[in-house]
Amino acid sequence: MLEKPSKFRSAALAGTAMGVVSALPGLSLINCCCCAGIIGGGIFAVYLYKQEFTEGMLPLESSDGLVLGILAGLVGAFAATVISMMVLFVFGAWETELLRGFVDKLLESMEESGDLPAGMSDEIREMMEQAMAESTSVVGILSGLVMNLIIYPIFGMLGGLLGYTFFKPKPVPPSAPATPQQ
Amino acid sequence: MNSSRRVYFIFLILVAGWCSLILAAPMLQSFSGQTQPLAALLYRFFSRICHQLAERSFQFNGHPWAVCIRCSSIYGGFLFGLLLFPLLQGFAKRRIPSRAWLLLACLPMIVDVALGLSGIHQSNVWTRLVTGLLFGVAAPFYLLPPLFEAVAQYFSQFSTRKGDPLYARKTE
Repeated sequence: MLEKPSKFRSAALAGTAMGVVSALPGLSLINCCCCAGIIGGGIFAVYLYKQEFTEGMLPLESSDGLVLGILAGLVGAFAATVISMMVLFVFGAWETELLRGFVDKLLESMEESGDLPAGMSDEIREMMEQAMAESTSVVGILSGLVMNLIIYPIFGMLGGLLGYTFFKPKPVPPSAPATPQQ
Repeated sequence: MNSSRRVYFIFLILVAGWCSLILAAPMLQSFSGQTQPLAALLYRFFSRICHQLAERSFQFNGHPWAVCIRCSSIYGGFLFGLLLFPLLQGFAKRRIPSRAWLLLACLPMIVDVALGLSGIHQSNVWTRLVTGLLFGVAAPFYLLPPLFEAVAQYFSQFSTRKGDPLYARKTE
């Protein structure tokens, strides 16, 4: 029996895809549905790994799915942080202005309709400015990376296990007893 | 206690802890004083995996839970499914149910989201709750058997390596 292929290539590819999906504005909304993007990345890692198997190799095992999911999650955590920094660098000012304009309009309409108590809008604006400043600071980016390093491997592992249930090799039926020759 | 039971209880504690954190955020937020920074940290942590729209979340003392109704029901359902697992399947069998059941459990949630996005039918509290619960309850039956198997494989690899004289020499 031949050794299994290395897991790093599949994990790196799937982790990068996970990072791209999680960091791009709009596309990242997929993670709002129970981390579907991250779980999908774990499943994708197992799919890629299965493609590397050739005849005569040891079969895919559930421990492979587990490790692949965790590895892809770790790569995905770094990739998501780096790509979101790049997005912030390129589109940051435009995105901030867009968000600020949207929140201002929302608060104005809420104030006019009387849904928002007086003075509350200033407090909300201040909180929003603080959150935006935090997300672009070094501490904000590092704390984001730490959170990603917790979340991504957990959900990546779940994806890897699900991937194993989807792509596991079919059990070989026991060979039929030889018919006696007449 | 065999390895499957041990893995099950560790996993159960971790999932219960995760669900408690979702509830802890609004609780800590509602106490005035030093707990609010901790609540803010929890909200920020869960903001990476949920939109956290207040109108789509359960409330505690006027503060939204850390994740929306759909996510809460998925995690709650997952915890409930974990509790059901030993009763319905037990630890001895490592059988994974047919994939069709998982698709069936997932389908109502996909339809609910798709109808909402297309504007045909707006989802409400009940559709989010029920469809999320359905998916959450089904998921452990697909995740636990391969997890038990994976841990058993590691244990057997480790014990094989420990018995290997070459490995023993390397670790001395």
